[in-house]
Amino acid sequence: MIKKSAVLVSILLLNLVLTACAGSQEFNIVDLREKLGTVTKETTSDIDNAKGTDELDTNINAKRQFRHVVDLKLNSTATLDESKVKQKILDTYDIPDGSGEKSCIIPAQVPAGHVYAYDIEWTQVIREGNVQEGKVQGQGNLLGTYTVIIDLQCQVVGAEVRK
Amino acid sequence: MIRKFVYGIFSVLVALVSITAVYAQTLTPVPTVSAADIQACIPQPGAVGRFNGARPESLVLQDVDLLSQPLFGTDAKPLTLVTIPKGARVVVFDLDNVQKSWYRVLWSCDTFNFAGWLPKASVKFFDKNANAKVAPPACIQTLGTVDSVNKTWTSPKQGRIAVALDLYRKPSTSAYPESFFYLTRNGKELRDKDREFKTAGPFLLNGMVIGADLSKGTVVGFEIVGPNADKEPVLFFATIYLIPDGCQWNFE
Repeated sequence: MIKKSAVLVSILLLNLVLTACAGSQEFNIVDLREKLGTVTKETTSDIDNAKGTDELDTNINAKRQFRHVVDLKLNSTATLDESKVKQKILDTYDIPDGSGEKSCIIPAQVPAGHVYAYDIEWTQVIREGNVQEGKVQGQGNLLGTYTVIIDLQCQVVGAEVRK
Repeated sequence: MIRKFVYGIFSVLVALVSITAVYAQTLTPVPTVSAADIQACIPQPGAVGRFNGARPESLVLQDVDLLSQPLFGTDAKPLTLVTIPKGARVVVFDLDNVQKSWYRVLWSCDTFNFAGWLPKASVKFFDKNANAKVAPPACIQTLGTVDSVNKTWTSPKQGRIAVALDLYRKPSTSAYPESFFYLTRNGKELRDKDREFKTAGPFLLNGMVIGADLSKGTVVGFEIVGPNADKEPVLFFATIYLIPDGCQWNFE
């Protein structure tokens, strides 16, 4: 009985030590490059100039919410707290929380007598980089890699002529 | 006295010829366009735009010189790229960040295209629809332009250059797949200056500015790497600037 308790306590203590050790390894974030991610499309509602006699110039306000997803891949040798690394990555890019919203003003120009709907393309803007050992940026062993969605870019790719 | 006068005049003439020769050596000519081609680019009223509605094509209200950089004060020395006639249509992308009185536009026609800066009062457009753009400062020196990705440009000087470019295509039903654009220097890609793009729309890269350090005689080229690079034609216009020592352009 006493032996079993001793084993249990040892396991518990070992766990506590390991938890304390994890995340104590110093690391720095090294931004490498920007990439483009997934592209999604949407179509606006109709901009109606069917009864107009002049070209209609107006703006469409498009909004889209997204998440600043961090995809972190740590090496097996890294003893880091993943949540702390992810938070430091978000801090590196001045991202205050996990979700964001992008607004786009789309200038629309509809000829007289026509009805248009606009196709909008939303493209993820991603930064990728390395997690490196130590305090000094750019030095130290490679501990892992990451990507993070920092923004969305929008572009009108065309207009559908509804009438 | 007369001899001194003649000698003085002769010296001035020699100096002027030298300055002109040096100036001519440092600039690549801007493509010239015939009056007929310019007139052919003025659309008929009610004509469908070139880009299928992806960007408004705004009316030019008066004949206007399209410049390589905004005319900020008396220090700026832009090149006049072309005179856009009243009635033409341009795509307005950007508003300058300094005076907020210059638009950066693309004028695209069947046989030619130009991208440059013009006074905003000459175009029917609203500032709020333009992107704020860090414009070339007055201290920048325009060296030349290139109107095709298949052309190269040879640097007449050593120094730091900036290339401002627009890459686009005719509207298509298919997406342009993930691709990369590179500046090349003597045939080698500048790998740390690449720009990725992929879109279903016509505008692939617009108003992109890439800097590089060059020696005199360096050949600058442009390369697209991707599945469509050799299959789908693209349209292109680039302006090349020299950033003299002490001049700063925060385009990155």
